[in-house]
Amino acid sequence: MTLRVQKTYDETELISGCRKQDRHCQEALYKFYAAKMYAVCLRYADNKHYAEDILQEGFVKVFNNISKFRNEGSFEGWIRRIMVNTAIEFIRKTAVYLKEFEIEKVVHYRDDFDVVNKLCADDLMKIIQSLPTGYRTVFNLYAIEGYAHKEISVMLGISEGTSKSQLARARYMLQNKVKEVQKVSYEIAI
Amino acid sequence: MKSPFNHEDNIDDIFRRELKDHRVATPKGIWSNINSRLQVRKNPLPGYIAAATVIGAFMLAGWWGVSQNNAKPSKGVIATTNNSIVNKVGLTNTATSSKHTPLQTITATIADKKKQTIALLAGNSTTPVAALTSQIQPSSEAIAMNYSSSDFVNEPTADVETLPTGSQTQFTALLLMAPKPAIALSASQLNDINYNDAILSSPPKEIATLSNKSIRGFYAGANTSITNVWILDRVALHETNFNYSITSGYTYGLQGGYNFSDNFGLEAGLTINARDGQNYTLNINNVTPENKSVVLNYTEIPIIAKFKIPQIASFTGMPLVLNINVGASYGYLRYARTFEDGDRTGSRDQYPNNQLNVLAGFNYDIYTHHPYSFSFGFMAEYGVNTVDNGGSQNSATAAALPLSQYANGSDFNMPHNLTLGLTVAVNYNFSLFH
Repeated sequence: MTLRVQKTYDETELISGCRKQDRHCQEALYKFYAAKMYAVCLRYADNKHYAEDILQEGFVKVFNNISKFRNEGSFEGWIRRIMVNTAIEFIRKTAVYLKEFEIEKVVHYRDDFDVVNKLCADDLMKIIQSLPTGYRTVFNLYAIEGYAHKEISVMLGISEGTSKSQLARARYMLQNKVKEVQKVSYEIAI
Repeated sequence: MKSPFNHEDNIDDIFRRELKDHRVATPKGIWSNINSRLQVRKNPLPGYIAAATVIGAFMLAGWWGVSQNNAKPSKGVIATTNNSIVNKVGLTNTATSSKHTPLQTITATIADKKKQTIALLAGNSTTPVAALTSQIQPSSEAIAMNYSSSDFVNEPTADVETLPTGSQTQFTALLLMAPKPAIALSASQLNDINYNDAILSSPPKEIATLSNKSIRGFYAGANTSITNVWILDRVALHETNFNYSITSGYTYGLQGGYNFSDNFGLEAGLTINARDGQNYTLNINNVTPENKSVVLNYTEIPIIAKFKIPQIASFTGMPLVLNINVGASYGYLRYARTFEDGDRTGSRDQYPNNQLNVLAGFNYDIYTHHPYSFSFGFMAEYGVNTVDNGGSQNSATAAALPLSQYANGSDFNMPHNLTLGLTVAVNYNFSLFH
């Protein structure tokens, strides 16, 4: 019988070990952040398979470049930026992505969004994943990651106006989808 | 009643709160895939080492060429009693001066300068060879060779031991001097080097020396180069799915300068077009590799300090100058284009207008009897600032660049221009040899 002792690391030890390419530390770091980063990847990717590819690619970059992390700022934030950038690179490879941006116009809307509060994270995740790639990307970058329209325009190679219109369109579609989810939930309840 | 604007903020906040730290269980097998890819990590050092080795090899080759040329007397460079080479190291009136002092002066001067020099001395019957020989024998830093008049035609071979003293009407002394420890060559070694042929092959009618072939003065001309260019990205160099492709470039422009002395000059230029950039392939997700390229065209103003090592070329009898060049250049970005599989992407705004580069290299200036001189050599140029508009932490701009996709911030990801090129130039010398 083999007794396996699971060593626990704090973040500093993990980073230090990964810089030395210690495979145990790399695996531990992966296990610690994988679930959260996979959720990030799912928000950007069109499907689970793409999300897995982005996650895998992102972590390879993390390990290959961890010596560049200078302990300035959040390590999780650093990993998250790599994941987001990897996802954007992945998305940029899809042909229809840019075209989507150019044909849309700003859509104004107003409605009650309090219903959103009643939805759980899994529901919201499904709603976001159902958005077209372009809308989803802009909404993720602006609303969740906190990038400004100017930054998004550079990241995606689009104008600021396009970024704004995509965001408005994304919100409009989210509203409709939330309504649908609420309606289904209500019907099931009664 | 809430305004639409507040509604927008509200829905954003809700999604952010719920999803920012959301976790989803990962499928099995991801880690094993990552693990297998980490084992084939590339080492970025060979690229830098290769570049440094090439530059170093070129410089060593140039230096070796000059030293070899200085180590032998050149055909056509024959010293006389008015020997300018000897004069250059501080001796005058060699043949007619007293028999002790001049040679002592030669030896001391050369030793002090730690400079290997070969001096050809011609004397006459009033300066016995034996005296010359004995004068320098204790240090073995010189060997004298003597010839009769007939020796110049038929038999140049002679050595110290067989020299008749004071009986020749004409003689030539060959002095070999070297920095300590002295290099003492035997007579057989001298024959191997075949200095005698050199002496006999050309009549002592003209002396081409640096003292009467000064390269001081103004010059101006045009230049061009073929280059291999890189945008060095420390992150990309580590990427297992990122591969640099050979990227050729070119430059052409004008230059003008002033040689303050035979050993120092300053040159300024206008590089009308310098084509930089990078071709590369990116294979994300192990799908078909995507061919990408960045094309950057700059107009540059270089300023170069030139440290000169002059000599007289054996094949022209005119100055041949090895220049060791260091300097800097300002570059203005004229065009910037990016391509993905042949399709143009990106915009010029991604790249800054201004570039500051440092330069280093060497070149040979070959002078002719005409006011023109030709130059060929090697130059390396490295961009001090990044080629993208990134540079601040959390900059999304940096993240958007093809070579900066991997993370934000200049500390993490700093792509720089690097250019290695072979240069040729032609110059008109306004005050050559005056």
